[in-house]
Amino acid sequence: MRSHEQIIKNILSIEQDMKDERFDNIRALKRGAFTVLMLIGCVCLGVIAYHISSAMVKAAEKKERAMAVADEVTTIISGLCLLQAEYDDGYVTARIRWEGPGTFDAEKYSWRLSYFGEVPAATEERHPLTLTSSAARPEEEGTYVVRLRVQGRISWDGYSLVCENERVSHRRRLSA
Amino acid sequence: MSDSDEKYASFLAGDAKSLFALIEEYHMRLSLYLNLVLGDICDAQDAVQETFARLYFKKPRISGGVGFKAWLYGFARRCAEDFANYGKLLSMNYMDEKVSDDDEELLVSSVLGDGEAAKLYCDLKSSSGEPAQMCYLTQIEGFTPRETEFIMKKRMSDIEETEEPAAEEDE
Repeated sequence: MRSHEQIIKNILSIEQDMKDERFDNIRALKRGAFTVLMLIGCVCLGVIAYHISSAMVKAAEKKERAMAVADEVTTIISGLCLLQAEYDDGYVTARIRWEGPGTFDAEKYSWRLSYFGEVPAATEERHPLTLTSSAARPEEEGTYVVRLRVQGRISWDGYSLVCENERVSHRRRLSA
Repeated sequence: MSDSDEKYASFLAGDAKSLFALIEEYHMRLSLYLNLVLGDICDAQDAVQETFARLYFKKPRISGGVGFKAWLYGFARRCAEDFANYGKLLSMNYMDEKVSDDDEELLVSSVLGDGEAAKLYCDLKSSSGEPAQMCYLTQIEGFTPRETEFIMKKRMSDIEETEEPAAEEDE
């Protein structure tokens, strides 16, 4: 026969189990909420990263387009476009498109190297350029090759060739 | 207001010990009644536990214009009816204590003694059915006809009518 003490004991056990279950439910709920927040956070970060990267890509494209336009403009002004600048074993070889009147004269421009993040005069002092005898050799119609000797050994990376006169300045990064 | 009504009101006000006192007072008599309803002393004792568990957790208010005792018997009867559906039971997992069939005799003698009431109970148990339950409520528990109707959720005349065909068959 089930005594009244046993009935009371069972009822209190049910109550304790209900409390434990409620506690477990709350804990599971907290864990679920944390997971959901983490997911929302990840999605937000993803969206922000996507917007930032697409903005950076757009800015880079815009800058590239602006540079291309600037190149075209300077070409129209000066008649010269610096197509390519290659460094090889102490020499820089530049390919130039010439749209100006008459023939291209390399002597009429000043040539120097510039190094990324360095004061122009310092680079020029360390690695002055000298036009070689075969400078401004016509390659094909409207295109010339200019060969310059570099004083001192450089690594091509980070250097740009600058060609300028009193009106315009052309710049092209060195390639190997 | 009876002593039981006061104890239950005290329980509703937040004193759990009052309900424990009511459990001590009523659990055996209620087991006898539900034994007639369910036809099995083990199930009856489980249903009694379920009844008090529901009181403890749900704290229902006394309704129907009857006293606590009649209301408790009606409430217990509905719990016993739910007993068939174990999914509804609060104390389903707390009925593992085995109750032997010998408990019935012990329970009867503990509650009703060895006199006329005990004999009447044994007769009612063998006849079973709603008329037997009604007879238990009025003859042994001393409920009024109105209280009995409240507990059984039926008019006494309707219950008596169900008994008549059986009586005719006996003749």
